[in-house]
Amino acid sequence: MHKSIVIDHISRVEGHGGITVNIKDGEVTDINMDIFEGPRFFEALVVGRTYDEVAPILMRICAICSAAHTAASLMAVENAFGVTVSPQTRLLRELLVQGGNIESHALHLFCLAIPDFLGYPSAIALASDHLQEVKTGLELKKLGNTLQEVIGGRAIHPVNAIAGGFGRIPTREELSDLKEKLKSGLEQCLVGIDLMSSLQMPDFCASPNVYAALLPDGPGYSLFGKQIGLSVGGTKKVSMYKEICKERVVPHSNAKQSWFEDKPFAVGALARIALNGKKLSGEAKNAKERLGLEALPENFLYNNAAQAVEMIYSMERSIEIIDELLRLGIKEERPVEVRTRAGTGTGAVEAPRGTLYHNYSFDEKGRLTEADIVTPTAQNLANIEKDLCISVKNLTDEPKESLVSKLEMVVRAYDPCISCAVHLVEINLK
Amino acid sequence: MTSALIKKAAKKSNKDIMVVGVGNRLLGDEGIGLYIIDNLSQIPMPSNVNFIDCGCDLLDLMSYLNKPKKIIIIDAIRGGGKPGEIYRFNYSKLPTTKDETQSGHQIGTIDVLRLLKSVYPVLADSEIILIGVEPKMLELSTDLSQEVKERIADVTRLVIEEISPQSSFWREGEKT
Repeated sequence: MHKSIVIDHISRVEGHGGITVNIKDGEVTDINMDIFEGPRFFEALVVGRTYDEVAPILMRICAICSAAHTAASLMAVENAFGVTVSPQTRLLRELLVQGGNIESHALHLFCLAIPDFLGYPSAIALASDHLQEVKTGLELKKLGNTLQEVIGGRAIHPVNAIAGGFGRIPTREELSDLKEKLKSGLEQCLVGIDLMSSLQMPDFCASPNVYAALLPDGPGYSLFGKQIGLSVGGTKKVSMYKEICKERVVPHSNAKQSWFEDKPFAVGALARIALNGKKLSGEAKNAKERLGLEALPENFLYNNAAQAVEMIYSMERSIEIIDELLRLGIKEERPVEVRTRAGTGTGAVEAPRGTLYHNYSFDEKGRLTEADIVTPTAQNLANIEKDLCISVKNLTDEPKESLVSKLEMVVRAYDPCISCAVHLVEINLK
Repeated sequence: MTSALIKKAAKKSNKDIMVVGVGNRLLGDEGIGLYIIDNLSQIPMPSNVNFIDCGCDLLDLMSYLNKPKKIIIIDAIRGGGKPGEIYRFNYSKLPTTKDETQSGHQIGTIDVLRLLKSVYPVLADSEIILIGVEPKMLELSTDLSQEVKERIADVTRLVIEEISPQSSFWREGEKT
């Protein structure tokens, strides 16, 4: 029997953002993934621009990941020119990235994943029975936005973070106010953990996974690191990221895939917890234990649980950073001066969906000559495909409608950016 | 710095008309809503009008909700017309969309409005107007197509008429 299943059908624009799975006799024959995130496309937007124009353009690749894109972009620029930023800048930049993590995980968990698990077609439908939970999710997202607004100057697309430092330094009062909001947000997060722990996690997509994530430099869990770790062993310097993300063309898919050696791999919250979870502390550690994220997980649906744990981590870590900034005393420091030279630099950060790499080359005047951006979604594509194939095999007797919703759950667990491309309204005029 | 301070001040003031641009400036005509906001921000406006650049994240609107009387959303709208055609819709008269999550990662414009209205009672009496332009080119580009660029002045005028309703001559769902 032939079936053609369109997952996540968002055909607002031809050629963007849809996944079609073709099935014959219970086996996947081909998967077509139309995604936005081809590195060459992004390069065309910035070649010839000066170093200070690059981050403001590339942060707009994604609204939800704009803090992570900004941080990775600025680090790539600074590494290319040999700029070392101050400890205060590093802390503020981390706070910005934590805000993005809170915002993204809150949106995904409460508005996209939980409706799936509770059998609601959307967050709007969920709100009719679970208004408080949806409101909690939106308020937590708003808190993530507020954090980015205070530190980055805007709730999305943070204009205040620039190469070498920050344009404006937040005041003690602003940071203290944020801390109070985060303490309250942390309590709301625990609602999310209660909800997640009550959900049944089906195992139709379970299979061994290779995980990759940045390894924290210090003793604690982190969204930053100089080395990339793999769950199958081995580490690579961030500047060697291409050795992990080897692109290949596969005959049954129209999107290039990233493979590590001969295996697909996964990045994201679950990968981070698989590799670095032992470094969690406080309520995040308790949540990890409560949600059963102890062993190396084979079921990627647990990424939703991992995001819930990370939401708590990001709240706790943000409070820690603010305490440290207040203890050290906020300095009205100017950004470090950038002296251009010909060179290449890589910046990497753990974005909400996984490791994000920006790599740029500049000429001596600071004009960009080459750019390579590898997004988490691009890295996850091959693993999504693996999980879809396994799910189809495990769900041979499933009616089509139910199969579609289960395959959508798999894709959604990866929290993919396939729909970042276009957000226009489609209206059928009669 | 200035922009953050202005936004903070705007949030605290009594701005009951919100003009919101949505879109992605990296995707050609998809960013039209933001270009219109840029244009409108250069024009002197009554003090109760708040211009917001929401980028691709219309949910960010919830950071500004202060019992708005009117919300005007400007976006690219694919309505089947010619590139550059301008549309105006009243949210309350839009056909109900299918009750499904349309995206793996984010929520579409109309779904965001439905979600916000269902969660935030302050929006119960707000009039929500959607103004848009039929896009021509939705590819990675930091520029608009000529057809859409030529309509910036018309859309700007239409939004100004929405802000001052007595000058409105647009009918529901009307195209130019």
